[in-house]
Amino acid sequence: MSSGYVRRSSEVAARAFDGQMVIMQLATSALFTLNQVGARIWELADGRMTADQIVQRICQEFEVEKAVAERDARDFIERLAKHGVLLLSDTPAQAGSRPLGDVNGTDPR
Amino acid sequence: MGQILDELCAKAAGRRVPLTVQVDLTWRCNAQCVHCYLPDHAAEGATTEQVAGLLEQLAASGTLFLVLSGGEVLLRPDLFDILERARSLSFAVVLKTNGTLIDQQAAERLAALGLLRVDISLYSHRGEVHDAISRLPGSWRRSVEAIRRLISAGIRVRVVNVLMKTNAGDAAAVRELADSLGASYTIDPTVTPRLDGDGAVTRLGLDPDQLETALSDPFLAGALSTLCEIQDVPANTANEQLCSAGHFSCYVSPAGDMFPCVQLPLPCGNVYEGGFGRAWRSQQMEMIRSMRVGDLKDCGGCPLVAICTRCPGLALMEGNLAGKSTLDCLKATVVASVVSRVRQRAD
Repeated sequence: MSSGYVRRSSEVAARAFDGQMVIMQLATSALFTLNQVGARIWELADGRMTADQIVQRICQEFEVEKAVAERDARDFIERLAKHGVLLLSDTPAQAGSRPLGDVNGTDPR
Repeated sequence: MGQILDELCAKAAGRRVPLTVQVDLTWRCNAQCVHCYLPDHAAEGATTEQVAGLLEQLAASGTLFLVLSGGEVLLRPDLFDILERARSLSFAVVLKTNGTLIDQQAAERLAALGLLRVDISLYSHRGEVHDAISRLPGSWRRSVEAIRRLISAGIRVRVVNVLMKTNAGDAAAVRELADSLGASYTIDPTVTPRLDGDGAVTRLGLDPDQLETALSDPFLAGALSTLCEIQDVPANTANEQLCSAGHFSCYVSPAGDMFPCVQLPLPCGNVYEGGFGRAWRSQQMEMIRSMRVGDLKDCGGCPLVAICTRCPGLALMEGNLAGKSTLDCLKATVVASVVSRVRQRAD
């Protein structure tokens, strides 16, 4: 997998609830539900961090074996990139640009 | 997607998350459709700022699917501002329109926003039949042009075909037209009373023979055949909820009045006056959520209950939320007949 910069696609809808992140690829209506770690990767994918940096951050933030975390995080990024939900780029996103999906939902109760 | 979506809806219902919300931005319309369920077309709707505030609340409440409708939404001069706000909040947006105001520039702007889908009403493959229903001369041509423009711009379009006495025989041809344009297609075989309870428009709806013919179409019969397996009443039907209304979806009128569904005129509060959450948690909404099939005394023992798509809103407009919906009784009877024939052919 490329260790390029990882950015959320603008061609998706996304919402967090019940501890998960729900992503819909709008062109295909494909739905993805992300667990807590996946949701954190999604949040970090602002186009200004590389895949390597995101993997490192995940290893720091979650109490999982480093090798497992690295493998799972890379697999995850690669899988979502294949579906066009995450985009990989050799150059970082411009400062000030704001990818979609920044809004986290909460339980309305 | 089906299974994930089903699980998502079930989870949303369990957690009282308004996963799908329809917001009407205006009731003004350039058409005057003969079967329209809106009581008036004067409601201009909330301000841009009010709508933006509502969208923020919906995003924070967990809404993913946002349906923007009217009236004719393109009559709102701030529609694109609202759409941009909605997309920046990462909603999956469905736009419902008659398409007559979508020129090339509008199609390209909509495509740039990344919508989930645009629904366009088309009543016939014949312009004169469509225009007689919309009562807007030239509307069929403009709607079809809009479908072409949108699809060419890369937007998915669904043709919505409401069937009535005057266009009942056109369904297959409209589906072929939708196919040829690259759009998906769905029918709505029920003309509903106006939201103010005036049922006069229901006289325009299909008669039983026409309904049976429409539902016997192989395109629909294929879908109906899946009902064969559940035609016998399951033992636990009594404990099932009535429909999705109020459980994970609701409707907001241009003035901000919340209802459990666009077809269920039970006011639950005003989102622009008291906030979305207050109306979503209102007593009326909780009452709807608490209702189960077993509460429908008129339907007890009905052998068609498992295939009936009884609409509580239609029942309410007939006078009793927990009573019969005559329109749905008729539809269930026809569906049972069609399913029976599909079964016989399969045997």
